[in-house]
Amino acid sequence: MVIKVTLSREDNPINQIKESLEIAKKIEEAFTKREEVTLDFSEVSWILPCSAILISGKIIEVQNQGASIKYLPPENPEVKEWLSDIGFPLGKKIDGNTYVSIKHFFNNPEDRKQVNREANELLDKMGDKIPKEFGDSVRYIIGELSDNIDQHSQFTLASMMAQYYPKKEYLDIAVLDNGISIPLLFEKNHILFSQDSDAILKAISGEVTTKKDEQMRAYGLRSCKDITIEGIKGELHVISRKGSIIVEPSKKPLLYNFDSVGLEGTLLYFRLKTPKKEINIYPYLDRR
Amino acid sequence: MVTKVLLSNEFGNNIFTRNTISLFFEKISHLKEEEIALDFSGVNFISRSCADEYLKRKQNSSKKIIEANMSKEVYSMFCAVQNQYKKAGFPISFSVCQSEKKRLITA
Repeated sequence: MVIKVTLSREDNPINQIKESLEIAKKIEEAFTKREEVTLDFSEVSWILPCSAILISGKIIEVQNQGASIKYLPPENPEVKEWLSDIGFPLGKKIDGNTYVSIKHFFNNPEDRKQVNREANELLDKMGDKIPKEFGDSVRYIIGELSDNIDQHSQFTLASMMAQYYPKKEYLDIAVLDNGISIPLLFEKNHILFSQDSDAILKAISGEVTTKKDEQMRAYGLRSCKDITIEGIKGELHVISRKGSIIVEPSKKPLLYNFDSVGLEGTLLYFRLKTPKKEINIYPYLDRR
Repeated sequence: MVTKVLLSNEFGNNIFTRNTISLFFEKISHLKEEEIALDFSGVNFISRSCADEYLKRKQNSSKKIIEANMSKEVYSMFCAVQNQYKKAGFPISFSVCQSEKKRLITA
């Protein structure tokens, strides 16, 4: 079976995210039927980092279960080179001067230090690739996202990537897990919401926690959002089950709910602009 | 008798997940020494979640735990969490951030 990949070339990423989820769904359906898949990227001329990690995550997930997937790279040489650099489709160990290629890891339930170790390795690889003006912000975001994956997601596969664009002066970070998603986690804990995007909004606003028996929870995503949007003037995209949120400075969050597709898990994608001076993250933690 | 533990050997340069903290406190609860000195040398950063977990575990631990050689970043995070508890009005007593001098004390 050949899956022809077409991805929108627009400023609004929602369409491309939706298209990526549709591709992931087709991959899953083909795997269920035990069909060999060829992913034809030949006509792709534009791909967002969050699309790349979404599709890569699905590929590695089904391949780990025995699926056979072939990949036809883009004919556009720049896109082809970028995808190769970041390790698409299967991830890779070698990193570049300005990027950490896609890293996938499967959960080992007996290794309670695994996520901490993987996050440390990601930070070690990022170390000298990002300007010091980011201060502790990147470690903070990676730290809180890692803890969320470890605490809440019940993942079997997690994926991370990071890329700094020196000329454009921004840093992209993407963290994906295939766990139970924010809306499903809320449902299991009897937290009410109207649509999946509403559940995501509650999570990043710090309004609710699933750890009700513990004090001082629900800070993680909220503080990551505050640092990203208010501190760094960056962007945050969150996709979880059928919900999607895009948060940008000085704009109301853009909420979207997909109809026929969804993500089994959660993707958080940050675009962080290089601060003019070293950012101090601690005032953003001093809120409730 | 005091036993000294170098935390970077346990966690690496950054402490990110609550599970690693809880695992660590489970481990030290089985030590026969009553007093444990935690050397933060080499630990560059602790996440907010982990600082919170650490303080809760320390409060509930039967061991006397003292900290030393904290980096400025680690110290700042503990103080940030301490301030959050104060603002929220939750009673938690700990002495990690009593003074700037304390973080430089070598156990």
